[in-house]
Amino acid sequence: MNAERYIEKIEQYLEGEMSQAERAAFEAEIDENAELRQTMAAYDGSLAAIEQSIENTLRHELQSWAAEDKAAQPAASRSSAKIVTMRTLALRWAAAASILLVIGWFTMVQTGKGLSDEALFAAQYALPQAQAALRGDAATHPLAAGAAAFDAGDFQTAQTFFEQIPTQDEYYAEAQYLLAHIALQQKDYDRAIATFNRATERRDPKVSEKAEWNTLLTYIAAKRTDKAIFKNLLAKIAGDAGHSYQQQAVALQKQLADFRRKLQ
Amino acid sequence: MKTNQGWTEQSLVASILQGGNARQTAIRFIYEDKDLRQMVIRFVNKNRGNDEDGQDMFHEGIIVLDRNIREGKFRGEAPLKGYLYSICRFLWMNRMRKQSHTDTVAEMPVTAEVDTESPEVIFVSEERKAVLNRLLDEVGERCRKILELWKLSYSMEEIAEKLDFSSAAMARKAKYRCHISLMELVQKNPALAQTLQN
Repeated sequence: MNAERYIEKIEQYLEGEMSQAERAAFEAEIDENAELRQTMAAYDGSLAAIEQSIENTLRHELQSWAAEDKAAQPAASRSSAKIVTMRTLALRWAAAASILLVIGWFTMVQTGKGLSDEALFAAQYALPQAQAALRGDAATHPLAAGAAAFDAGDFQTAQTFFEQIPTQDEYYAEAQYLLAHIALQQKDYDRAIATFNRATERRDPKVSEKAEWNTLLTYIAAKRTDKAIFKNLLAKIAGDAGHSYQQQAVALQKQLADFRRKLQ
Repeated sequence: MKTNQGWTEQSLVASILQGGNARQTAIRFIYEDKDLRQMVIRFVNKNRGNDEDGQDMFHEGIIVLDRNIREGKFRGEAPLKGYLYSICRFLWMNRMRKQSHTDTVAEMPVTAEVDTESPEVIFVSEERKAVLNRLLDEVGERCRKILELWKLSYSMEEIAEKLDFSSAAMARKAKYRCHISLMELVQKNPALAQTLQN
């Protein structure tokens, strides 16, 4: 294929920027020139990919707006409650200032424990409710049996079920996502990471971002937060304004950088 | 569609067609239509879904609406709000049909709350989506962004500003290189090319 040779002409043709004579000559060339036809097919393919990218980005944006809306509601009520609480606390804090100075170091060490890998993982991780996450009628859903076993804590049965979901199945990403959680429960971190990655790679909008976030949590559970791959993934999510877990990733970055982690 | 804040249906469509920041603002306005969102959620709830499904359908409907407007498939023969509602309803019915693997969805009550224009909804198979997403991964984040902005009619000046190119000319060169690279990726893999043709 000689894309460089034809791309400008193809764009002029598709954008209607050719004169009638140029257009007729170009169409005659399409009929005669197999290489040009190949290039045009590749151009069509590239446009389909770009359109998919636009769709992905818009979906992220819509989800982000929805998350903002959701966050805005409780925040308003929280803030008014906080003012009252803060006033009361201010008096208590003043009275307790001298005591806090004495126990400052001790407190710092204790709070540092809240930033340990175990504590961060426990604070962030939640085992999903598989049946509740199924779309539509849970009873007739193709993953229903596996999801029921998963929710009942029968991970062996769930694992056997989800492992039978073939890669071409439209629910493959969801099956891999739940399999990864099973591996995580079994503390098989390598398998959990690999399986979350498979779920992510499917780019299923309902699974991909959850799987990415849980990959990060698995690295924390495995005490591998020093790995470059973990840091890069965390930075990627924290830097992606459209990612559903962006705010959590930013908060996690701050917690991981907190000097009190070093006091453990 | 509500037409406060100076928006009319025509200006919403025109802004989406114009692309760039105008499209973004128009889509945000459509997204903010809480009445329509509630209508979609109510429909989904009535038809074996929940609030989350309804919200999801509203988002998917906006994605289809955006594309249909840009591709000239929305002809303005029905109100935009009714058209979007029809898309959402159609998407949900299709999802239910796929999930149930039966024809029960055909028996679902179809509420006629607004005038509608039959929406043209093209379903992209999961396989094809996976192929396209793989191509996007391979071409890289920066190229993906450049090509996306170009397709959405951002000017080269705007692309240069958004993506930190030193000039519009540099942005144009980058777009050219990225597009060639993406086309070569399509072409290099016959299996990908075949899937895209299907």
